[in-house]
Amino acid sequence: MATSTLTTTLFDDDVCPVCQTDRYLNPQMKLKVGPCFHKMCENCIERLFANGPAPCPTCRQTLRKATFSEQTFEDLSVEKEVRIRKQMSSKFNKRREDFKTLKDFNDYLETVEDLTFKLANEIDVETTKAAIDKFAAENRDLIRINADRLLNESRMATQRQEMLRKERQQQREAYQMELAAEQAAKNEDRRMLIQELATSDKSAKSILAARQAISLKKTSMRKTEVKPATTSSSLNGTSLLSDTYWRMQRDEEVDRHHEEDEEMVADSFDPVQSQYMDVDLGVGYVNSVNNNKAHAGGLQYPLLSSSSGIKDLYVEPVGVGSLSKVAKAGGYRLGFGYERAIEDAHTALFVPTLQS
Amino acid sequence: MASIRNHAEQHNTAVYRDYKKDRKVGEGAYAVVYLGTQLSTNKVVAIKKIKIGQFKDGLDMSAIREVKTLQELRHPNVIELMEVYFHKTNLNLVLEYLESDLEMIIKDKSIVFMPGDVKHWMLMTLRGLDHCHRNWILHRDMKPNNLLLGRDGQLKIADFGLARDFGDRNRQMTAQVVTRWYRAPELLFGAREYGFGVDIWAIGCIFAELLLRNPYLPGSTDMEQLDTMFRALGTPTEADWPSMDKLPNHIQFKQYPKTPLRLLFTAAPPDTLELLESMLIYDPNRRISAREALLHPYFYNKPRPTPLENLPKHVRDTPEVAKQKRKAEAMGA
Repeated sequence: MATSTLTTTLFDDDVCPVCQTDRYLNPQMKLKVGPCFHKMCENCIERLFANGPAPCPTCRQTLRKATFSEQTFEDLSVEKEVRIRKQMSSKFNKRREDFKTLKDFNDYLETVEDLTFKLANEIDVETTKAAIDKFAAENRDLIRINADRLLNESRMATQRQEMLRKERQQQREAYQMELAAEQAAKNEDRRMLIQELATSDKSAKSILAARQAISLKKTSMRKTEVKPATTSSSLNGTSLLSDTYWRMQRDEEVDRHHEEDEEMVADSFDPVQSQYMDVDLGVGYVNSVNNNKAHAGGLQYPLLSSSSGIKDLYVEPVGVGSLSKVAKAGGYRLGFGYERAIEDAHTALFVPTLQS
Repeated sequence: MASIRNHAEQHNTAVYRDYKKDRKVGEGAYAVVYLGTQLSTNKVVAIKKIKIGQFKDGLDMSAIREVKTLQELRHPNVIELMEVYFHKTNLNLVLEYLESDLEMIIKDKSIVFMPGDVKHWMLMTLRGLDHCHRNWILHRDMKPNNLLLGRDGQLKIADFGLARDFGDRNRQMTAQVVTRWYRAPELLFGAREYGFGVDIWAIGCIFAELLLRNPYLPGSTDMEQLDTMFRALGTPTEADWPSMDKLPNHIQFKQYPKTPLRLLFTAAPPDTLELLESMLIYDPNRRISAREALLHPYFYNKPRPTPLENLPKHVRDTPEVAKQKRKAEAMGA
């Protein structure tokens, strides 16, 4: 019982009402909603509407495959209202600038709300639909103009976003180049230092001191160089750049720490880790018991394995004949018996003789 | 001979005197578990008292199995049988005491698992199981409830009541083992000869459960178990599992398609899914072995297993302690 309640509470909402498939075991299942707002899964839609329009299994309204669409909201009443609003907004798309006064605009919004509410709750559907059609016919030109306007605006917005993205990318690349250049300069410095140490006859200490002074000066110069570059970049660029800079630096640091840690771990990591304590014969339960027995003057040669008592007869470990198909299907291998027999034969050999 | 017996009795009394039962912490079908102390070292231990009187034929089979197998096993990831002693007519097993188990951790939704945590638990489980298998012992009851966790984070396989040595073909085994949700398909089909695969299947289910935080294949009857399994992993074909129809209780099932694991385990990286998939292969001969699993790239790849001391721990009281606390509070009020 516990299991069924568990699965039902978890996946209750995701069951196709037609074929009862649930999402737990078929995560691919997609529920779609038709114009009558009844759910069913894609497979059922394919099956029911394969030969053109057919009645909905729940409410008998005639439906077609193409009228089904994916459900966005959990609550079907919400889904319905959203769809109605979408339809309404394609017709009722007047804006504030289309009205002379704010009051007119508010009245207009009020009527739109009224109509939407009536449609969503199925009140006077016929008259409401007629009113909507009438409005659409009267304002056909304005609707078209406003639709165009909306389209243009959305295009502008995407374009603006694209530009912003490109700008950020450029800044990032610039920063990376800067880093690379710095690294190259450092390497060059080091090379020069080694060369100087190798060739000149001054003392190493004085060379190093001179070098240090130069490199300090260089880094401070570089820092002042960088500053004007960032301030000159576009309006919100400074904050963006410093943000990415900070993030990248932190990431690098974290990475470095991680790698150090993990290399250390990796060196000593052995997933098998054969700490088989029973191989160490100094300790262990079996041994202590055997020792006690031996002290009492009993056994001379303790045998570890229960089944390895000394026998004169040879016993075929896996029985005569080849392995049946049943055993094979069950996961039993002939090798098990032989391996086991060989191991058993060796087990006692590793026990040292007891000293009395 | 008399001297041996005398000595054995002396030894038994010495052992018995060294332990003190503090309070009862649990009761199973054939045993009562007490929390106890080893007086000589002051170490906390679990003492499992086997109810002997109820069985006409002497000791219960599972008690014998537990003693027999645990005697031969010694590994950081297998529970340690410290001593065995008789008192009156009862057999007492002194075991290491570990306070929580993997099931508690999985159910405690206040704990968040990191991929490294799951990896370390799997690593420890497989190390322990590999040790059992190397010593020709099948555990046959792998489930989160039987994977105990110590205060130090170390995981230990426990409850060897269903375990047995194996390899001898002349002795058939029963298919009625392993808790149903973790039972391998060959056992559900009634195989009497099987191998290490039954434990690996169970570990695969535990692995999936660690990733999902929910039982992966929860069936309420044996038939439903098979149905759930096939719905999740696809119905096996003759090519997937040769001669499966020869198994005693084989039943032809509806042909469900295989859903890729990726769809259910959306957050798992490819190496994790690959290991999981190779543990849940229908044909037991093709299923991965414990040793092979340990050598799987999953354990070498990043993230590294979380260090022992950083593994999540379950800190809530055991039901008994909670009960006692409630009582104490009531008395105080």
